[in-house]
Amino acid sequence: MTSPDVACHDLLVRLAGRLPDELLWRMRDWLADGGRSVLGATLPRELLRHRVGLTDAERDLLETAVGEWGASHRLLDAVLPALDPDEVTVTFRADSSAADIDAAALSVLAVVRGHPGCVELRQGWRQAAGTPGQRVVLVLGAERPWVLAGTLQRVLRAHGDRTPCVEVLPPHGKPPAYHRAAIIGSTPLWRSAAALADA
Amino acid sequence: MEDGTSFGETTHELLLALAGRVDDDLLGRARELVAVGEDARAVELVTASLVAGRAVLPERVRSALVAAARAARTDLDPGAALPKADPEDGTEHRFAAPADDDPVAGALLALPARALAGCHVLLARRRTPAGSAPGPVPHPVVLVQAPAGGRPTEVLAYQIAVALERADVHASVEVLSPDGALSEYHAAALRSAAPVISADDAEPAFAEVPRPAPRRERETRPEPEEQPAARRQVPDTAGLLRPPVQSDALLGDVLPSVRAEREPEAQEADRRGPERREPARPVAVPDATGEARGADDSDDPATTSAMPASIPAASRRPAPEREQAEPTPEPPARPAPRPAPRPVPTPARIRRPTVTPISRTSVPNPIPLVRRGGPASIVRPMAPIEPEPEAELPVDAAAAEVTEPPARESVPAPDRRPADAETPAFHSLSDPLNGPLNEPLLAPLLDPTVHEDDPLAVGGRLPAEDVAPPARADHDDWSADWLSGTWAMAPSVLDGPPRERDQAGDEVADTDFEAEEADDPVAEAEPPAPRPAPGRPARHRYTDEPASPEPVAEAEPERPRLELEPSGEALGLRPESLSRLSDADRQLLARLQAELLEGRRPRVSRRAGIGNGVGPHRPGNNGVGNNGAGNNGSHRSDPPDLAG
Repeated sequence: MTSPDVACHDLLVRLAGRLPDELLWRMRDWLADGGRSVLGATLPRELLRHRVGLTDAERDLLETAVGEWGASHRLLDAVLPALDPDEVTVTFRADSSAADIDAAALSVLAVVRGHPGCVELRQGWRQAAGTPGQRVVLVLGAERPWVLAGTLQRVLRAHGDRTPCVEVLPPHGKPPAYHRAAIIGSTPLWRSAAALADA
Repeated sequence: MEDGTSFGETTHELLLALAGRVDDDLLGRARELVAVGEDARAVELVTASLVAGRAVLPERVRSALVAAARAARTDLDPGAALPKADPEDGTEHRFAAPADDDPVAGALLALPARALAGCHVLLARRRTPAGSAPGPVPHPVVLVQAPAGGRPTEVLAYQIAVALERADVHASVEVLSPDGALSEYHAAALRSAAPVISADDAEPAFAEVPRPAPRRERETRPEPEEQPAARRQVPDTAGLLRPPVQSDALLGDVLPSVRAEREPEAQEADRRGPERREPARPVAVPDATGEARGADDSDDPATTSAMPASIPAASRRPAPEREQAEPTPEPPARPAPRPAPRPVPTPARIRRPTVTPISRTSVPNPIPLVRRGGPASIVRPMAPIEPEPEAELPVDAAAAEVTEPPARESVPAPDRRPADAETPAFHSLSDPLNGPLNEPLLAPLLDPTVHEDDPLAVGGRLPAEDVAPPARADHDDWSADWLSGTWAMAPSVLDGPPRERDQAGDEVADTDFEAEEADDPVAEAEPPAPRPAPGRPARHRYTDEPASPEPVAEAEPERPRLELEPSGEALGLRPESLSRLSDADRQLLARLQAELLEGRRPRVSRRAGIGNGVGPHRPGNNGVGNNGAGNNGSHRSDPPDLAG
C-alpha cells in the first residue's frame, strides 16, 4: 500500500506545470518538512482555487495522502475531475554548454550523488512565453524522494532560484507528459555508475 | 527581550512582526494578498509555512497568529501545531549598509515619485537568512517610513515591491507604520540602513501628507516616472549628524532605462554631474535623538520604541540644484522649500538599465547554432562536392581541376566530369553572370539542344540567335524525338538509318555506360572513331546539379572512353550530326545499337528516356533524378532482373 508521503509526493510531481511554481515548490517543501497537516489543509484548497482537475489516479493519490491528514472531505469531493493531461504548453530546452553547469548545478549534483537510490540527474530549462527561462532539475530514482526534492529546492533557492522546480521521478514507469517533455528537453548531468553498469 | 510590537490589529502588522521569521518571498506574497484583500489566504499561507517549519515564535506573535488563523477560518490549527512560545532577546538577524552602487538603490530612485511621496526610504542589506528555505544573502531590505494619513501601508508595500520586481530587483519592502512601535528586526535594519529617498523635509514626515503641488505636476506629466525635485533635493545637512548619502554613489551607474531615456534630463545631468558629486557616503546613522551612530555600530543598543523620524535621507537631486539656486557655499540649516518639482537629472553614465540577475537565466541561445548552419544553405549544395570528386577522380582528372579553382567553387559539377572540361560551354561557366542562381535560366540558353524544348519556355523568351549554334535545327529534330520517348520503342530502328534523336540519350546514362562498356563485347568490337569536334552540347547542364553523394559516383576516369568511342559510320550518323556528339553520346549510341543488335528490348533505354524526358527540367529535378541516375547504372546493366 502506498504511504501517504509517497502518494503526496507522486501527486505533487504530477501537478508540475498545473499549479504555480511558487506554490508547488512550497508545498513540496512542506512535505519534506513533515507538514502533513499543512498539506491536508492547503492542498485541496489550492486545487480548488486554481481549478486544477485530477484524474482518477490522481484523486486516489490525493485521498491517500491528505485524506489521512485531516483534509476536509467536502473539499476533496469538490475537486474537479479531469482527463489525463497529455498536452504540454511549455517547452524545455537542453543546454549542453559548460556555462550551464553553474554553482547551483554543482551543488545539486553534490546532493544527488550522496542520496541513496538516485540513478540519473538531468537539467533543462523551461521556456514559456513572456517569462524567463526556469531551471528544471530532474532526478530519476531516489529513496524518500520528497526529502530529496525539498533539499534540492532549498539548495536552488540559496543560489537565487526563487521558484525551484525539482522533479524527483521514479526510475521506472511512464512519467507524465510534462516530465516526458522535460526529460527530452534536458541534458544529463550525472548518472549512477550502477545504472550505467546495468545498462 | 520580548517583542514589543503591537500588532494584531491588521494583517499587515502581523506580517511586519513575522519579518525575518519566514522567507522573504513568502512575506512578499502574503503582503500582496493582503493588499488585494485576501487576508485569509495570506494568513493561511504564512501560518502553513510556520507550522510546517515548526517555527518558534514569541508569545505575542504566536498568539496573534493563532488568532488570525482562527479568524481566517483556515483548517490549520497553529495553536496546537506550533511549538510553545519562546521569548527572544533581540533579533538574530544582522544587517549591513548597502554598497555605494547598490542596484536596489538605483531602482528605488527610479520608481515613480508618486509611489514614494512623503516617505522616507532606507535601504539595508540583511546578512542572515530568513525562513526555512531562504534565498541568497545579503538580502536587500527596503525600509519605508510612510507618512501618517497616507496610503495604507500594505498597499504601499505591495506597490513598491511590484515596482521593484518589474525593475528586476527582488527586495523585501517593509513599510513601517508611523504610529507603530518598531520590532527588533526593523530596528536593527534601521540602524544599518542608508537613506535613499527623503521626505519633503527633515521634519518628522509621518504627520504630513504629500504636498499636492508636486503631485499635480507629476500627474500632468506624460511620463509618470518624473520625480519631483522637492523629494530629490539634498536635505539639510547642517542639522544632521552625518552627511547625506551621496547620490552619485547610490545612483552609481545603474538606473533603469526609463530614466535614461529622457534625453533632456540626461543632458541636464551631464551638465550638473560634476557638481553633484559629494564626498561623503553613509557612515553614520542618526538615531531619534539626533546622535551620530556609525554605520558599523549595529551592535549598539537601538532605540526601538519609536521610529527614527528625522533620519537624514539622500535625495535623488542633491546639491547641484541648491547650489545653483543658492550660491552660498554653506547649506542652510533646513532645506529650502522648492517651488516646483523638476525633472531628475540623469547622468549619462546611468543609462544602463538596472538588472540584478539573481538566478542565472541567460543561457546560451540555441538559435545562433541553428543560424550558424543557416548561411551554409547557400553553399551547402557546393560544399560537399569539392572533396568528393578529388577523392574519386583519377589523378589526371584531379590535376586538371586544380587549374580552375574559382570555377570549382562556383560551379562544382564540371569538375566532377572530366569530359566537361573539353566543352566550350564549360568555359562560359567562368562568366560571373553564370552563377548558381542563374543556372536554371542560363543553362537552357547556352544549351542549343535544350532551349527549344524547354517546356517552361525559358529559352523562348530569350534571343536564340545569340546563343544557338548553326546546327540548331538538327538538335531540334532529335531533341523533340528524344523527348517523345518513341525512339526507344520503335522496332524499325534496326532497319532504318540512325536517328539523330538517339544522340540525346546520353544525358543520364553516359557515365553509367562508361563503366559498363569495358565489359560489353559489342561496344568493344566497334573501334572508337576520332572525334570530329570537341564541342559537346549540354554538358554544362550538370553544373546545375546540387551536391549529393550519388553524382560523385558518376565521375569516371576518361580512360575507357577513348577506347570505346564508336565511329560515325558505325553509329549511322551524318558527320554534321556526329560533330554534335560528345564522347559519352557516341558511347551511348554504341551501347544502344549493341543492345538492339542483340535483340533485347530497349527497356533500359526506355528508362533512360524517362529520365531524359525531364532533361530540360533537370535543374529542378537533380536532387532526385541524379540520385536515381547514380544507381541506374547498375540497373541498366541488368534490365531483366529489374523487370522481374
